[in-house]
Amino acid sequence: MAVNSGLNIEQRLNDLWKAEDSKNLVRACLFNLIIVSQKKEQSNYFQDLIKGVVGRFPCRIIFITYDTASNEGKLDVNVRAEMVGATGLKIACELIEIQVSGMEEEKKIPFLILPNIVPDLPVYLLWTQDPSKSAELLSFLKNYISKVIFDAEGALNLKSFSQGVLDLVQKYSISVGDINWTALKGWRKIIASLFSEKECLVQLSRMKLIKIHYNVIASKLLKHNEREAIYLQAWIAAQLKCQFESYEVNEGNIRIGYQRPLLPTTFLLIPEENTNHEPGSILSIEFESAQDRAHFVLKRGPEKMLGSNEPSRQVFVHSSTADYCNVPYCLYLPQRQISSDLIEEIFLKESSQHYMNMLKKLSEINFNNKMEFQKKSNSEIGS
Amino acid sequence: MTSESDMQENQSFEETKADTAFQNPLQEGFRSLKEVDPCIVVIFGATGDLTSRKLFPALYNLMREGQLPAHFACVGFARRKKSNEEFRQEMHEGVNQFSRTKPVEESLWNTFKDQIYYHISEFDDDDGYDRLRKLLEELDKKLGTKGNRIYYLSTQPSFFPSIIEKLSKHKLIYNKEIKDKWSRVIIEKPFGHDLHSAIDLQKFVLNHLAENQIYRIDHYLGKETVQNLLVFRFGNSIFEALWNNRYIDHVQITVGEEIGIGTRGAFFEEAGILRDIVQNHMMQLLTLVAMEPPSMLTADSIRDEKVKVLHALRPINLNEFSKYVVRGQYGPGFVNGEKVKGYREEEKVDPQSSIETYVALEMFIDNWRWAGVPFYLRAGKRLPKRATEIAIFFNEVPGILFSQISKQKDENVLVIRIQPDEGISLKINCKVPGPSSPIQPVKMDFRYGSYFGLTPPEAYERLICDCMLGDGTLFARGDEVIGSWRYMTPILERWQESKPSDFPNYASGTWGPKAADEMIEKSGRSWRLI
Repeated sequence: MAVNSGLNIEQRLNDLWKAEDSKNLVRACLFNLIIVSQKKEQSNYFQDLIKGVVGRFPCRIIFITYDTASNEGKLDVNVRAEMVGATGLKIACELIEIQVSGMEEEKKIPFLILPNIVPDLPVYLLWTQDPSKSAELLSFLKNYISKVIFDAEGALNLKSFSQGVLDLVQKYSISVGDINWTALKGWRKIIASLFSEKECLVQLSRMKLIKIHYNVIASKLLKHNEREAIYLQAWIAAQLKCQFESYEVNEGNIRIGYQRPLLPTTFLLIPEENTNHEPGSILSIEFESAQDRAHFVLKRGPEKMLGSNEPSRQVFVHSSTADYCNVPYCLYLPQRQISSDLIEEIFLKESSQHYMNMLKKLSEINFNNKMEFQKKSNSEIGS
Repeated sequence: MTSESDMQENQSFEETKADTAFQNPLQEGFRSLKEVDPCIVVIFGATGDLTSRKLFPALYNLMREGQLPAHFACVGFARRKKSNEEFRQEMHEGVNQFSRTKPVEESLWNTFKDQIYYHISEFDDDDGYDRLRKLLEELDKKLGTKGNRIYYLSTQPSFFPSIIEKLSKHKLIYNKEIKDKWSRVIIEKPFGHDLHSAIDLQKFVLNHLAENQIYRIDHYLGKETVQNLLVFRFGNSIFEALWNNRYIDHVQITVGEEIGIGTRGAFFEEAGILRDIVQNHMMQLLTLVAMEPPSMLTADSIRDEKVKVLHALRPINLNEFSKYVVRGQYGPGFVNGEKVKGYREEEKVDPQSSIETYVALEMFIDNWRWAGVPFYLRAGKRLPKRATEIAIFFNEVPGILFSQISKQKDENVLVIRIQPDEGISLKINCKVPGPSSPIQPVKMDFRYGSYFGLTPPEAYERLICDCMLGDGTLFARGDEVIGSWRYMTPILERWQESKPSDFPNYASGTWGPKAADEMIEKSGRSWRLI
């Protein structure tokens, strides 16, 4: 069910509910979710995201797409209800889709959003652009937003992205989250548990080389397959208080050097192709220390889940030193869905301190924009 | 010879050692990331229904969501002969049938099953406990479970003392001098069958365990809606201001079941509904509704406040017993249009049984907040519908403005529905549009299912996870259980002395005996129609 005429959104929402096919529906809304996207190509990705979110928690969604490829002044508003529940009681939430191009039309956007926020409920903004670029809308909405959730996938340069987010937090004291950061929760938890004991932490502090293998298999949606690996290394470096020293890309591998008071640590991010796992996901992590030959390997199960097409969520842990070798064991990553990641960020009210630390670390790194190892198919999609 | 580089590394090692002595820098404080210690869960009575229907589905879902520790094992302890493989297969079937997430993800199960073991022993056989200790020590070495133990007593209550004694005797329970590993015992209800037995059991248990090692499970406390009571009361400023005798007329707590006792005849003949539901579940609801705000959200702060409520309960006046207590037993009748038999015709039930299947109580809490506010509790089998709810009836407005328009008594009622159709509704009065201005009550209704349509975690998942984390907030403390029995035992004793002459006194499919209506009506009130 959809209504698509004129700009009086409130009237159109009312018409929507008066329509015959809206009978026997329950309108529900837990929060407002404003999604700002710059690319038409990502429309399917966001439609899936919206379905995933409202399928679990009904909310009002205002979905704005800036068509930056066109200079023609155009503003198109579509209002529809997204239905949840296959049988029995049907829950419906309202979806306002706005597509805009041309500078004059873009100026109207804040004034279309403001009257259509459901009052008294939190407002979350999913911002898919670099916050340092065209942040006028962000600035306009800052007083109404409970939290801004970023999708770093849309950022062109992680250094400026990180600095932009940090500036935003400092300037407006706003809570921030990040889908890519939440997607790493399982790995962060596993690494934290692996080094949860004092002696293990000491071993971690001695690590000279940390290798992170990540999946560069081509994806229609993802153009920065290395993002999660970069996030993960920056988190570890930040939490271990490493000082950035060098960044280089060599034959597809990213080498990031850090200095600690007396001991240098290198992170090596290695691309791999694996059709059984999600593009951009972490495939394995190896921690190596030179002194006592301590070696920790965390490796994802290579196969698909039995009886389903889902990637394996098992992580096999092997650890050894010069003195002992532990029996390998298995840990589990949570089921991965971008909508679940977004929901998790929504319900965490405060910014994660670890996330902020990671951003600070990323803002120190001089990234080379030309990632020469990127698969051609990926870069074509992203261009 | 030590190289300069080695010296540098050693220096770094010492520095880091000092830095990281107290905190893992990779651990962030969110609950979802909270670290669960490696451990082994030993389930006593592992061949019982509870294990396959509730405990293993809970463990499986915890594992599935990454909430079990990496180094983990579960050992089923029971008397029946069975191999590890047979036990694993049975648990697999149980999870497949009863888990909230179905079907079982086979690749997860294939790894999980290797952490499941079965141990055959009588509950009082010393040799069995010796063998258990050896098995657990082997598993510690094999799986890295670090000596941490949870013993889940899912047996008949009569076995609790001997199991605890044997665990203690065979050093499977650690005393407080041992700091590098922990042992905890989860005890299923009932904890005693009256005040004296509960005190005896408490004394016995405390001879072998510290209070913080005992986790008395009441699965009601694991329900999301019950946990929400604290948030609802203390996370919203508008309700707490009204939550007292100035604004509240009375409170009704109902636990109704449309089913009878089914195959539990033998158990029910021993227990009755007062012991089965009122003494534990309903008293938990009562204390959560009536408690003062805790100073902190810690296990002991919350439980301290609940115990204060129990201490403030006015003992039943035995001279006017029937004014405050009504018991009932269902006879034949109709439920959902189907003819059903009476309690005395149920399997393994004495045809002359005087066991109650219905209880209604009028209770008073003699403290500053609740002085004069009656709390009505009713619980029954074979009622018209399954419903657990708390209804708060507010005082009526002074009748000077609208008494000419509406004579009907329509006080505001706040209803917290625990199950099914979990949610909260508030009845308020509104003007009907038009010139004559009649007043009509309307209901504002919040349904969990509409907003949080997820399948919530089962109560047992939350409770087992909390026990692994050492958080006793959602478990009953010893003094809570004793406090509750202190109130209930005189009722049981009076019933024991005087057998009912009118049983069965309500037909299946009705809201209980007439005497229960009369009990509440004597003060001009009536039971809420659910």
